[in-house]
Amino acid sequence: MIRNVKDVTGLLDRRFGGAVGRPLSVLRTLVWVAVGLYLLGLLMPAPKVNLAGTHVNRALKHLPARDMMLDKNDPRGWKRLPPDPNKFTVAWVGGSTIQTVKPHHGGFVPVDFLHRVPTIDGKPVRVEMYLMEASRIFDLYAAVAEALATKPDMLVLDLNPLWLFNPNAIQSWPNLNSVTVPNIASDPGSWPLMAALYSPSDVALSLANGHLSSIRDRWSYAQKLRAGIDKLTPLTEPPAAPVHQRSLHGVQLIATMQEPLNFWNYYRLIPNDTPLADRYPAMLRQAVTDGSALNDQITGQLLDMLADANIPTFAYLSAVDPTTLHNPATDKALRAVEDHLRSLASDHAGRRLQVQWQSGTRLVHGLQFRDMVHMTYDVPMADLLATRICAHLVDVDARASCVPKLGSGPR
Amino acid sequence: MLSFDSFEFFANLFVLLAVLVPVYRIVKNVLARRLLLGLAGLYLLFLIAPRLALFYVGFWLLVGLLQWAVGRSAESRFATPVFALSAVAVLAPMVVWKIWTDTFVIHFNLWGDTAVRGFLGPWGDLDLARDIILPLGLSFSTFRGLDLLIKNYLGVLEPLRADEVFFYGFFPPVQLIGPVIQYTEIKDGVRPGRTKLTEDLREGLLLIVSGLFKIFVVSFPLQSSSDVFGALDQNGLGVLWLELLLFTLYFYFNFAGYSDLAVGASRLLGFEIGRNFDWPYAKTNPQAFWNSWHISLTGFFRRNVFVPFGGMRERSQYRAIFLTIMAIALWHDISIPLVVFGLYHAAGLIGHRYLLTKRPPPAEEPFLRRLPKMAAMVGFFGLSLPLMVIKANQIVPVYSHLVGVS
Repeated sequence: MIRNVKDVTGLLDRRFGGAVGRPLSVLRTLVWVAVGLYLLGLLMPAPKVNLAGTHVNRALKHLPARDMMLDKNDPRGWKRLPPDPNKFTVAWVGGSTIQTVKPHHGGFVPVDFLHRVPTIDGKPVRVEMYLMEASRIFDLYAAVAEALATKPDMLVLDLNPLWLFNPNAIQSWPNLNSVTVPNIASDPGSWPLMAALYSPSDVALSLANGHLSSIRDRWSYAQKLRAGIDKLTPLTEPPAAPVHQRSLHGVQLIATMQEPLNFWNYYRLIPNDTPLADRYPAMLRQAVTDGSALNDQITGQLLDMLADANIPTFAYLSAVDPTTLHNPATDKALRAVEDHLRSLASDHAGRRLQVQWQSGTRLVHGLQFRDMVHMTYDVPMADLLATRICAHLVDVDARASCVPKLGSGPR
Repeated sequence: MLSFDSFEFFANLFVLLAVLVPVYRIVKNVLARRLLLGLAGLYLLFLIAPRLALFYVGFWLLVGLLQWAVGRSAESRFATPVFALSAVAVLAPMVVWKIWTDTFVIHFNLWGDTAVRGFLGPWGDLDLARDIILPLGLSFSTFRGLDLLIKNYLGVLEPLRADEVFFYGFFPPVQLIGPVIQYTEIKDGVRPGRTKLTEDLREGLLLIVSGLFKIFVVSFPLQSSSDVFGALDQNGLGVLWLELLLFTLYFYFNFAGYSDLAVGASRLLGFEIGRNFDWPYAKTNPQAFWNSWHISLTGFFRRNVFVPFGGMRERSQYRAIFLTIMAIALWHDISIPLVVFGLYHAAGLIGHRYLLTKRPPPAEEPFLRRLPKMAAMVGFFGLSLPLMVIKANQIVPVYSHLVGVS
């Protein structure tokens, strides 16, 4: 009878002439495992990623704009499309602040830009959005690295003042680590950040991702497997009951929280009785602008990456609801963020990089907001961005042709 | 949050081992080897959350000091009070966690984060990006620390040096889900040339493959079986029993799989740690079952509760059995369902022991004769498993549904 591992090795010795007898045979075993995984990817390919099926791309319909992000849980992160030399491709990276919620439909700042600047250098403009909901500064850094690797003609980066220098949330998409390793590792300046935020398995998965589709597409396989298992189980699940967070406390409450920031806010930073309207301003006031937060290191790397890119890049601080600035503390916090961004931008300057360090709120009027940072009406902001981006393109290359049609497009 | 995926820990461990094993094998200095393994364990905890790593630095510092104090006072009249106070201090975090779970988890994270940021400066900010966690591995560390104190107190082991405590405390494979190793199990393994690399590799890899098979091939598809306790009204009696059986299999294969990974990883480094499960579902009576289930933990309680309370003496054996199984039950959680779990298994073990006094144990039986007994034993254990996951107010509904009274 087999009772332990020695019995198993004994059996393998007798039946198969031994298993893993020498260090070299470990290598042989590993090679066979890799071959097996490779064949699995060939023989049972994962379902193709349907980029057009994501909810953002369904909203974009037939516009020359696409969101490159996959499901937030999908470790492949984004889909890379072949470059189109007949189009002027603008990669637009940002979080939820590049969306607008309009009365009858959702909108996107990049799309409104597209309506104002349909052509650049005589080529139709195509916008590739990297819309990362709830993205933090390191997520933006990773997305910018990916966007630059696709070699767009220009890159635009939206920086949310709530998170830019907020040390309580520097990364919200760690599941993308394995896919971002190659881009980020190519910049030696980011190695200390990698050592801090990445794990050995991220690096190993990244190496495997490049060569084994069965590893790269593991999320699709897991989804398929889960669906298969769900069909097999005879258990009838009860309908999901709504979670009443107010009645929960302690460990039960923490278990329902979406990200660590919710915990830090709930128990440490923002008193529980803070009204919803004050929560975002309170988060803005968490910004650390004295240079002592890790955010500075990341933002510096990010700006260096943009400055070193071989293409025009434009980074801007997104707008905030001007009514929230009636509170002097919030206004002061925003000014501190703006000043600190300006200071970092001057330390990490580049000829092709322009940083609009002032929030759009300071520069235009008439924006409308659902809350402190999410716009419902963005026309003045789209006009501003179209004007400044075109001016920057011409500034970088005097031969560039970029003429914004202000006020155009759906309102 | 709060649901840390144990496989993430092992994925990092295995990648780390690809570098660590060759380096460790090349290094012949015992002190350097100890430090290397300790640092690797600390790094793995840091990857989960820096606050967890810092907590364990404090914990093992405390254990190190206390075991030294216990060892130094062993011959004096203060031996027992020093030991008792030390044991209380080592047990305190785990007991507080089990009793005041909410408060402990909240402050463990808040204070831990504050301390990390104090230590690491701006780099401490990365702790804020890591998940909110339970004190992962605390029970196993507590038992390892306590085992050290007890051995010092009994004079079985000399107080360890700082590097030895560091190595024992942060021995990488056992950080998260045990087994509860004793220092004597790894003490000599760190010396070079004790085991053959080829044997270590093949046995270690086979154990890891066995663990991966148990986790991904057997238990992963059965994962949803635990949902049965929240779907009592929607399912018939047959489905409930089937799902309970599947949950019984899931519970074992998942746990045993991770134990195999830990034991296999230790073996790759040249450490022969005892297996944690010995075919428990093939056992035919409660005593044999508990002797083969989570062996390192039951061994800890056998050494430190069963024997001291007179388990080897006829007069006091039943009391010792009761106390041992109750301690095992309450280690899982201090709650009413776990008290019931303890009483249930105490009844089984005491009943079995009593029957043995009346009737000698049967000689080795052929497999087919053992099969019904094995099935009965799995059923006996499986019936108690809901108590591990349900709350007190669910005990009556769950068990009445299982007997068809809804």
